[in-house]
Amino acid sequence: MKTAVCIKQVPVFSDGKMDPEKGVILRDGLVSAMNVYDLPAVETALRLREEAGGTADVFSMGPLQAADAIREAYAMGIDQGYLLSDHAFSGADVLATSYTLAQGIKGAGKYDLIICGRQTTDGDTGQVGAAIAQWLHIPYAGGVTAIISRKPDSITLQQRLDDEQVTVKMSYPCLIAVDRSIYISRMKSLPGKIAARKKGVAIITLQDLEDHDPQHYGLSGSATKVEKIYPPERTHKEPIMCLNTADAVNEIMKILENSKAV
Amino acid sequence: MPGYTIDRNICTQCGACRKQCPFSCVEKTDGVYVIGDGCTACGVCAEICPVKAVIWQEAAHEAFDKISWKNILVYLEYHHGIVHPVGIQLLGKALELAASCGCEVYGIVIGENAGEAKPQLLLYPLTSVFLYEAQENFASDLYEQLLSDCIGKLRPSIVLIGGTAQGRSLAPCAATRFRTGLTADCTGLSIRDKDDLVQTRPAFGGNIMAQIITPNTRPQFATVRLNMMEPARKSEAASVAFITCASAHPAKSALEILDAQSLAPEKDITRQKVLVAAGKGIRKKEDLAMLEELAVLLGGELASTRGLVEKGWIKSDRQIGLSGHTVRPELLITCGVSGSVQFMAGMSGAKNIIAINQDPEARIFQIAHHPVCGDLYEIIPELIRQLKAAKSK
Amino acid sequence: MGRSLIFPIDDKYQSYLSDESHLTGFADSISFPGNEEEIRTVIAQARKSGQSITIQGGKTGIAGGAVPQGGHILNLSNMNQVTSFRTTEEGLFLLTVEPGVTLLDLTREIKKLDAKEELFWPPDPTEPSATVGGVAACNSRGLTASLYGDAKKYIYAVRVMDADGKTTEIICGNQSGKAQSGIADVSKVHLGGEGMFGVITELTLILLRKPREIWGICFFFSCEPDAFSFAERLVLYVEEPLGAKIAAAEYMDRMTIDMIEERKPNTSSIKELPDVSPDAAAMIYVEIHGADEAAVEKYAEELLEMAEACHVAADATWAVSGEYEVEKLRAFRHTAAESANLYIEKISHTYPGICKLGMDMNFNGQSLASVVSYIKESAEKNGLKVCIFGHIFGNHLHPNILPDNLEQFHKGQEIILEWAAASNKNPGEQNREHGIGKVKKQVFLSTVTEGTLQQIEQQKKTLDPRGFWNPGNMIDT
Repeated sequence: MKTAVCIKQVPVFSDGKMDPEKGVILRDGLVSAMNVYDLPAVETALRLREEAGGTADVFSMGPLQAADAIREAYAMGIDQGYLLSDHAFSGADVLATSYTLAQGIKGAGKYDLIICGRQTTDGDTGQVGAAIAQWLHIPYAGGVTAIISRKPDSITLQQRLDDEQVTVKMSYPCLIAVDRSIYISRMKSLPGKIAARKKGVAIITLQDLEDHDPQHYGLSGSATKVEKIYPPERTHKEPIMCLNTADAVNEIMKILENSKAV
Repeated sequence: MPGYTIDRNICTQCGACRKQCPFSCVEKTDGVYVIGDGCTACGVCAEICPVKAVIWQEAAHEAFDKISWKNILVYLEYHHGIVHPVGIQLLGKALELAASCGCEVYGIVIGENAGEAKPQLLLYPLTSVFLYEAQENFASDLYEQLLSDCIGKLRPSIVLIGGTAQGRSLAPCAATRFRTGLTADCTGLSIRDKDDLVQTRPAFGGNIMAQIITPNTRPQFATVRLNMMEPARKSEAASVAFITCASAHPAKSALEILDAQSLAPEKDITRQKVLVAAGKGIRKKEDLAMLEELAVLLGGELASTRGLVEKGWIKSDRQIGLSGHTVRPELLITCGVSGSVQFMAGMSGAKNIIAINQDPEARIFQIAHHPVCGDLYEIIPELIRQLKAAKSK
Repeated sequence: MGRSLIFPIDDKYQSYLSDESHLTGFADSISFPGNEEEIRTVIAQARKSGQSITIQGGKTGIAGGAVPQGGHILNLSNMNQVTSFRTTEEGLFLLTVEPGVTLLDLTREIKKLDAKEELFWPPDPTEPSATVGGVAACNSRGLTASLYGDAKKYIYAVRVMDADGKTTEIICGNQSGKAQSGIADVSKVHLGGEGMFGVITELTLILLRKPREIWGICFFFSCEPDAFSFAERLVLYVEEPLGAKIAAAEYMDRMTIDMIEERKPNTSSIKELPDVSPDAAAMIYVEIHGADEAAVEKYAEELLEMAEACHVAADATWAVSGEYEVEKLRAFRHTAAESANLYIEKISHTYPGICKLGMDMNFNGQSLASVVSYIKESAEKNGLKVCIFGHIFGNHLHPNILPDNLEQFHKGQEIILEWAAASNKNPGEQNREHGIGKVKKQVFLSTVTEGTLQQIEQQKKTLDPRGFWNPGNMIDT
């Protein structure tokens, strides 16, 4: 069975590095790691390989340093990693990113199952998986919380759709997006980590893809454009209210009414 | 290729662009500043350059016939005979947008016995609702095909879909089919120049707000989560046309639904939007019932400080703090919590914190957005009473 | 201003009568001064009323150092500002802070500094909510102490206020205080002085450059002798390549692992770590720090070979690198201490009076194997449950007795004295990373040498003749 996992290298935040006033990420010391939602996706692929044999590869799109995220996957036991990296790919939105990944996967071989994480910690959109499935004309199921069973030509899984749990069967090839809770991902082993440093990552550039028209990738191939970014409105901190019960309750009711959460 | 570039002849190497780039992609090689990979064209460098050395280079775009795409289509998620409340909220937003640009609002319902959605929709002032009959159980490929069929016929400028589990697969699949832009989980939407949808959403875990447009393609897709927008108001003057539709080329779903069961809502405190936290101001175990009631009324869950867990009054999966869970709810109400460093480290990311405590010196008041100094034993019962009254209205 | 500074102890301040040791004390009043002027006011008031003062920071101590035995509680948690940062000509990175800055705050503030390189403050005791003042007062160590050393190495200067409200600037290691008090290096008294000699109102910390490469590795052993064998090799035979050093080597027994695993689902910091195999009888966590990735990797390879010679399954090891990932394994190790403390907190609700029964001694000169078997046999003989974890270098172990009732608690107190006597092969400088406070006083007094005790008593007489500061800590006055 041939499985592919889409992963992304993202910045990892620690309080001190985000300027809350300007809403800007402070330079230097930005640590990058594999998107934490992708770890269970890699784990799913590894477990399927343990059960069914075959191979488990990863694909990623990013600058050359994203190879580090692929090495993290190697240390977990992934077979082959592909990094789609080219100046032409940069500035891509979901449309262009998913197209690039789809092209890369198509060019690398025939995969039975493609697995994505639920979302990324930087973009938070959770759409790339479904979009890749659309480009590849294969069925898609998101919110997967468990793999129920696996046959040589199909897979049965459990999805969580808001307040419903659905059991669905799909034939290969297909694409699934797994929920973070599906598995606790394994730790990298020491021999795995040592070997990963020396293992090669296949770099795929624009010219390597079947469609090498730069207009279809990166900024050109994107349909959305970020016009501007600005810091978010923070909830204003009020001074202490020392009120009688009736007034206190009225104030709280006002806050609740304005809150989008209730 | 379009994008920002730095004109070396004008650049004075002051380094401001490199310092301010939120994505850390301005590189300096041999004293020359270059915009590298990872540029999202946010434009901060262009704005900040004191000598205007950062310039935008356009690319030639095929003219897209935007003008022939008009009006707004709202996906009205329909399941078990109920139109999902997010759909009514999207209608509300759509009607507001339509008023600002003089266009019409349409709805689409896909599901089993779609016609039974009529009574739920006929009092809203939209133009028509397209009804597509399909299997009860959501199958992304089937539903997307029908949605796209409708879009192909209607040619709306804007398509709004709820940010639900359904919407999360429907929207990207449809947007990709039309080779157009989709912005997910928008917190703000407005129209500019009569047709451009200005889409606002948080990114980087909420640390940045991004304003996005879909300049050259149509339709403009956006998803919005539940409770982000105000629901539409019913109108006496409404006269909705219900149009039963079918796809010209019906397809069979590649997803075989074997079983569907409704699930109890998530109890995990780290996944809640609303939490009510109990602290040592709670005098006895039985008093937690009142906080539980409040939590349920607000659609949330009960959580606690370490002290109450160790007393055995509440289970440890409810514990917030350094040695417990880290939570980031939209709304957190703390009751009788003094605010130890350990506790606050586990919830300081909450967006909106109401703290109720009798001690004006309580440390929790240093980080609470709404510090309320008072007796929780009087405030909470009254609050519950008022919430129940408001709900029954 | 009209705002009260001193509050009588009533219901809402009950939690200030104990620290993490769960020893409960008593006091008349408490204050939360925000600056030195306010401290001065509080001191004057306490003296006027004939009260003694107990100083508190984060109350994370496990020896009862912050537990009051009457008098007034001076809680410094509101003095939590970072004052200034500078780099000296010699290249020292100095950060001046108020004593109530927590380690959590400190890490965050250091990240925000406009320094050319990434810096950190090496002392890293378990509790991130501990305050810098408290760390200084206990001269705490942490996971990486065997490489970096204890807290006093990273404190450049302190400002101390005495019972008259007078402040003195002390540059640590400097002989400036000698003429005044007749004490050779007065900083040595305050650092590790557990608040007995005055209150520290400001500290200047020495920050280090973060090592460029940090690896954290967990080795799991199917039987204890294998773990001991690995530990022995680590201490005696390992060849360190140039450019890499072992920064931490931590032993954890099965009981410790079980306690961590039990807490795991409800502890955010370690929730997503996989389960430890039930076959693991013990584990050892090693950290390698270095400037050069290749050297660190070489060291890791050597350790892997060593581990395989001790029958470790190479594929079952855990290995991470970079601070972000290493934090997860540190959190795992820190949960060991936390779970032992939380066990005590829970049982103390059923049986008030039970407090922490942990030890903090080094058994230098003996093998890890002999120490662990001695402790385990002793515990078993007396029908007591014990979990053992600690630092392999120096055999600096923390056996924690886990009593189920008062009888076991009292037995545990006796047994600890026995163990202390057995460990006391090297009298003189006691390893006191947790502090002595009140809880470890008995043990301390039974093992301290006459000379050391006299020295401490003399220092107390000189710097705090009225017995004003932290009565009950370490010695009887």
